[in-house]
Amino acid sequence: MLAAFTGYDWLIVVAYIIIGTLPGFLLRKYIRGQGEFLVAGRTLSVFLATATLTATEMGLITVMYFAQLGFLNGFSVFAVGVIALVTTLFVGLTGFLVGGFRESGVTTFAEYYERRYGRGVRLLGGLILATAGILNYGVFLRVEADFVRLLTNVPELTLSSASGWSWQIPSVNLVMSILVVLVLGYTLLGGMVSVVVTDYIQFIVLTAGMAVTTYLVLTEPTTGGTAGIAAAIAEHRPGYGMNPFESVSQGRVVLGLGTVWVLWQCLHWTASSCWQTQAFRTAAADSARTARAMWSFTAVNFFGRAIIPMLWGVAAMAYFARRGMLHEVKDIEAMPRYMAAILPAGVSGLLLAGMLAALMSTHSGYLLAWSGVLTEDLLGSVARWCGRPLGDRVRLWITRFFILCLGAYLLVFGLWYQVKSSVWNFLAVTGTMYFAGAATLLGFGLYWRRANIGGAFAGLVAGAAPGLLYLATHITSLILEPQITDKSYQPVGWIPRLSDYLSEAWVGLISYPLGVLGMVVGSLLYERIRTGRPSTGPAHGPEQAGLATPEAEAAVTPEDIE
Amino acid sequence: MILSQVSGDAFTLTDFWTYVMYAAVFGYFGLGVIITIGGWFDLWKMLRRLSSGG
Repeated sequence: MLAAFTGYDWLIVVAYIIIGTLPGFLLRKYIRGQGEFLVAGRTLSVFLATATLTATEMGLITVMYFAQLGFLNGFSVFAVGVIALVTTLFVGLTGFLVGGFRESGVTTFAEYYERRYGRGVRLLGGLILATAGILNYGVFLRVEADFVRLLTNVPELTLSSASGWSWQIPSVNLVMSILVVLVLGYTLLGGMVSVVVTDYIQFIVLTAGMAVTTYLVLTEPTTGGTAGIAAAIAEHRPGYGMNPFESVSQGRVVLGLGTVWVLWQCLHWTASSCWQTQAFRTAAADSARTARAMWSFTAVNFFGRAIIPMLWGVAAMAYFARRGMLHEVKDIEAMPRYMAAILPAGVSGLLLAGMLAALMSTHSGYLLAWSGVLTEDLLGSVARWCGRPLGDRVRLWITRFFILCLGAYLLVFGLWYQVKSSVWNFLAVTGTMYFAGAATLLGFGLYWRRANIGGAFAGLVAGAAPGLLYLATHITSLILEPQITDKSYQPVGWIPRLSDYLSEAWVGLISYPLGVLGMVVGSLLYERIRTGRPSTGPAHGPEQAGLATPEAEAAVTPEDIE
Repeated sequence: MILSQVSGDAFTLTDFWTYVMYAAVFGYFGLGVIITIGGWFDLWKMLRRLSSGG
C-alpha cells in the first residue's frame, strides 16, 4: 500500500534543508546584545511578523494532532478553526491583551508580572511558564519522528563487520537529531534574527507543500471528494461527526467533542496569545499597531492552520473506511499513512520538506522562548534579588547555554526516550495550568486598577489548581489501580472514580474562572489586610503601573531592554 | 440559505462545514501569497534597521 519515497523526494528535502537553514548561520553580525538576540531589536513589520508567528505555531506536531482530531471527530472539529478565527480576530482588532503587552515594553510575560505586581510573582509565574512550556515541548520530536517514519518508510541502518559485530541505528532518529543540531546551530548564533529569516523561508516552503497536498486530497478519487468524505462521516461518525456540541458516551469512552470542550476551546484560544513563543513575536513587533495587525492576519492563518490538517485527517478516515481498515489504523498514524499511500513521487518530497520546515521553525522559536524565560525570569531575577544583576553580554551567553541544554533535553526525552501514552494527558493539562493564570494576570493587570500582588499569587495558584488536582488524581489512580488504562475496567476506589470524572475538558474549562476568582478575591483581601479599607489601587494602564509608554519606549535603545 | 433557495434543498451541516473548509483553504493560501510578497520587503527593512542600530 505504501508508495516508495523516491530519490527525487530526498533531493527536494536535502535542497530545502540547505536553502532553508544556511541564511540562519550568516546573521550573527546583527547580534549586539540580548535585545537583538531575543526580540530582533523590535524591528519586525507586519508581514514578516505574521510569517514568523505562523511558521512557529504551525509545527509538524500541530499538523499531527489536528489530523488526529479530524480522523476521530469528522467535520465537527472544524469548530476549532472557527473558534480560533473569531477569538484571534477579536484579539487583533481590539488589541485585547496584546496591545497592552506590547506597549508595556516587556519581553516575557513574567517580566510584566514583576513590573505590575512584584518580583515574587515573576519568579512563580516564570516557574509555572517554564515548567509547562518545557514539558510540553519535550515530546514534540517523538510524534514528529513518527510522521517522517510513516511517510518515508525508511528502513533502519545496520552497520556490521566481517567478525559478526553489527549495530542497528534508527535512521529516522538520526535524521531528526541532525535537524535539531542544525536548528540549535543557527538559533545559538543569530537568535531571533536568524529565527525570523529562516521562519520566513520555512513559511514559504510549508505553505507550498500544504497547498499541493490539499489540492491532491480534495481531488483524490478514492475518497470521493467532499461528498465521499461526508458520506464516510455519516456512516462512521454518526451525529457527533457533524455537530460539535454532540458527544456520545460508550461506557468510559466518550466519542465526539461536546459543549464543555467547545467552551474550553473558546477560552483557550483567547488566552493563547499569552503563550511565550507568541508573546515574543508581539514583543518583537516595531509598534503596538503592528502587533495588532499581525494578530488580525494571524486569525486567518490560525483558521487554516487548524482546518487544513483536520481535513487531511478526515480524508484519511474516509480513505481507510472505504478499504474496511478503519479499526486497523491508529488514529495518530492515519494521516501520514494516507499521505504515503496517495501522494505521487515528488509531491511526497515537497510535503516532507514543508513539514520539516514546520518542525524547524517551531523548534527554533521554542528553544529561544524557553531559554529566554529561564535566563530573564528565573536566573536574572534571582541574581538581581541577590544584589548581583547580570550584564547584557552575560545574559546573552547564559541564554545560549540554556538553548544548548534544551536541545540536549529534547533529544533525550523527546526522541530517544519512550513516552508512555498517559503522559499525553499530563501535557494537555499543563498548558492550561499556565494559560489560566497568565491571561488573568495580564488582563486584570491592564484593565483593573485594583489588581495587586495578593490577587496575582491567588490567580496563578487558582488557575493551576485544577490541573494539579487532575494530575495528582490520575497519577494516584495509576498507582492504586493500574488497570484503569483499560477502557472496559470500572474503577473501584474513590480517587480513581474522581479521576475518571475529571475530564480534560472540565479541568480546562474550570481553570479560567478559578483564576479570575483567585485574582478578584485575592486582590480585595490583600487590599483590606494592607490598608484596612478599600483603596483605589496602584495602577490603571501601563503608565500608572510604572510601565513604559510608547513615547517612553521610543527613547529606549534595544540595549536597555531587559 | 442561498444554497437552499437556489437548489430547493435544505442547508445542511455538511454544506456549512464544506463552506467553512473552503473559506479556510482559500483564506490561508491567499494570505500566504500576500505575506510571502510583503514579508520579502519587511525582511530587508528589518536587516536595514538592525544595521543602523535599531
